[in-house]
Amino acid sequence: MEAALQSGPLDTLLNTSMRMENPYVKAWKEDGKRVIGYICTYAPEEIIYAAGMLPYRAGAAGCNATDKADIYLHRFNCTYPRCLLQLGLNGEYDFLDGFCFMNGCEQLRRTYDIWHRKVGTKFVDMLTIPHVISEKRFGWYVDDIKKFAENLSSHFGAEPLGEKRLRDAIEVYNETRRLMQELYDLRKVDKPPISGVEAMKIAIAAFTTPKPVFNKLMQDALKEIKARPGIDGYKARIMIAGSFMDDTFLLELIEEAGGLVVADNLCYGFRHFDTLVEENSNDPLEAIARRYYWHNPCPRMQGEFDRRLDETRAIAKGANVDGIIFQRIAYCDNHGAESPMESRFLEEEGIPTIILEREYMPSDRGRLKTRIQAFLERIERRR
Amino acid sequence: MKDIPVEWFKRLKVTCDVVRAAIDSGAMKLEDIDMDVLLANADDYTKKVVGMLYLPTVDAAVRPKNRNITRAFVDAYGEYMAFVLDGIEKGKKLVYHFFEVVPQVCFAMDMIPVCVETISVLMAALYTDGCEEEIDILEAEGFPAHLCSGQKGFLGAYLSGSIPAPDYFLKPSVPCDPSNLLFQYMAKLTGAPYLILDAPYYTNERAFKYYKSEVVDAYKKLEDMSGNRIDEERLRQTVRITNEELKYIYKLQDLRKISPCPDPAMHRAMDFAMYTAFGLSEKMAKYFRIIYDEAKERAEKGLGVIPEGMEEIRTIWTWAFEGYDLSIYHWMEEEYGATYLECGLTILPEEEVGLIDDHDIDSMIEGLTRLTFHFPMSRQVTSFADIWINDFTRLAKSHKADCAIFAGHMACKHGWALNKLLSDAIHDEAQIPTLRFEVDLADKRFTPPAEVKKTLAEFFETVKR
Repeated sequence: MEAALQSGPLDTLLNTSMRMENPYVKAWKEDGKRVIGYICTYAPEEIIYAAGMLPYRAGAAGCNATDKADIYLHRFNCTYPRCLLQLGLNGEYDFLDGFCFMNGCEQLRRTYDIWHRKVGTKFVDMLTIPHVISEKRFGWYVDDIKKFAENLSSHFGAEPLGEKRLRDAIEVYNETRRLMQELYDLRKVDKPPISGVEAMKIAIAAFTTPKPVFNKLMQDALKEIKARPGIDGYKARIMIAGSFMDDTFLLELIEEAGGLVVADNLCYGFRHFDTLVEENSNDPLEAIARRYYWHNPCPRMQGEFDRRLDETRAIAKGANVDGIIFQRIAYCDNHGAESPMESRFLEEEGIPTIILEREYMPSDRGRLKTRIQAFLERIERRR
Repeated sequence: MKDIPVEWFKRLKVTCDVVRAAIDSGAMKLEDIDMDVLLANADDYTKKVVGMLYLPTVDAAVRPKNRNITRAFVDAYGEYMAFVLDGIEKGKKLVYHFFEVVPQVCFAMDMIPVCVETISVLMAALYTDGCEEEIDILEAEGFPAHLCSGQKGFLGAYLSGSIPAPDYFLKPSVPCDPSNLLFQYMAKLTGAPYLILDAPYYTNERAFKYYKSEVVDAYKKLEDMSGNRIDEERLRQTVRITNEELKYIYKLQDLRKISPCPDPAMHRAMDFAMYTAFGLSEKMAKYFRIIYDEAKERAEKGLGVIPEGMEEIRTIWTWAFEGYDLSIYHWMEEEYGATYLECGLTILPEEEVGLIDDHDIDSMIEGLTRLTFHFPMSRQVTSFADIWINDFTRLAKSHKADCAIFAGHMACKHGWALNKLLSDAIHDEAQIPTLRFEVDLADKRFTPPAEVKKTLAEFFETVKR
């Protein structure tokens, strides 16, 4: 596999630092502006941005011990919330002015209960979303978003959200989605100009950098990417799906073994960028809510299994993948159960799949590498 | 019936008959049961079922303080299993539901509601091998061990041909991800429609109105799909029986404030099972009446359920009970004087649920919605941690508990994410310690009964000191 050239805006995106090490976040704070953390792909970023604040997706990459968090969260809890809480307790999220939790999964929603008691973030709010997608239930989510927006405004003494600011936010965030979709399209070709590891690094930048800055960098980076020679010589085109993932550890193992990750169905990836907000709606807040509520669903959404399976199938087909790796963090219930369900039906259709259980933090390299190699060999034998 | 797989339901029915016969024979402990006499006219299937029974639970069930309650339970639950088997044979619509969906409306629609989790827990409690083979069948499909055995066992039973596919699934979207995902898988495998009551995160009036509309819509949809209608008189009948049950449940909750506690712990898993068959017949109300009458009589005499003269250790179980060896409760009463005041799987706050107004269908649905809204686990788990914490700190004080026990079901990630906040609050508010240990509600291999006893014994010794 040819090593990708790195320079200019692309190099910047590929080397984005996290949290307060991120120079753009630092600059944002130095301008006296506020940063609001969020954890779930159902949290409407535009609402926070329209309030003049920076929505920052709070991952926990870099955490390698959970000793403080384990006082409150048990070994039966998945290591993502444990790592997130650990960073909170370590003070690494002290730069946040607020935190928007959601009832996305059982373990993250309970992390709210601990966070607001034990971590010093001044504004900690819970935004809730139904577990069922329908027009009837949509109103609950809209009302909860309005309540969250009011809480945000009243706590920080900000002006109530106006239509213009919401429309501006939609424009900025849709532009990010368009740019990321373009990146995903570039990965569909036989010789993609970018690896899966690099694509993940760009996603990390998209989640942690103020969007106007990211959009500008990304526009230029795309030109660089398009000018690159395509990657060839890989053993198999791989799609990755499953639990929350905001680092490149597993992708590196896959690509070191000769696979090329060309697509994903991750909430920290394609699912977050896949659908635009309607820009000409009479009610921009409702348009934002509609996009988040109806987009490619997380397994926590009930009654949507067939749709999720269809989405996985469509992404796999669109990127012409040879196999799908479902990775699930130990004790992640949603993806723990979803992965064998999807795997069963996809295998019946002749799509090779494998389920890898892992911890959130990089670990167990040898076992994972062996299983990935075996999966790639299985794919190669089919040819 | 020949072609319809119903072995699990049949086994439970036969077990109820056998236990009733054992009690009626006058046996006061396991050794008193004369198997030759008991099985003299039994068929081969019954003999096979007897061979499967988990004997420590049978032993505890026939003991003097438990036998009348157990007798009432097997009468009522045996009748319920007969109702299930008869309904399946007659081709009535079968509804598999999560335990927080109370069954009264299904009864009134001439349907057969079966609670998934109750059946799995009873299998675990009653038989030596529980539902472990069935759990393994499901896990062999790639599902992780940390999902809930309440659904894993049942789904494994479906995969192994021990229960039939239902006509419908009915489930609230709470309290947990494992149950949501596994119900969805069952629906996908069987092709049966999956009706979901979307439960809001909050417990205020806005949330209640939303939830009521979910309940109303779900039953309307069930009517439209099945062609069965809610029979108002039948619903009123089930509601009146439910109200009778609730009255005794509330009175019992009050009686357990008395020291020494006059109510034995072993029936708590049976209570859970009876909650999920609420309102079927007068036998259900009779079950709770017998528990109440016996507890009241003991209380009036100043007696408890522990040996006379033994110092009482009053425990509240802040999460689940241990569901696969019910003899442990008899053991802890006898050996340590440890009584069981409340737990997270049977608590029903009277001030929130009250009684159901049976004026018309709307008032009955509203009352039943309130019951399910504040049902054990639904109430504590759905929303912010404060509700769970407040309920149990209040209980620790009102019931003068000496200690708390958090027997955390491995699958309940929301519970384990709360265990420290909860035990700290109980310590701060009620100045009592909490024992936290790991169990699997319906899989005894996870923490074998001997290990549970050892853990409890060490804790009780510490509390005594």
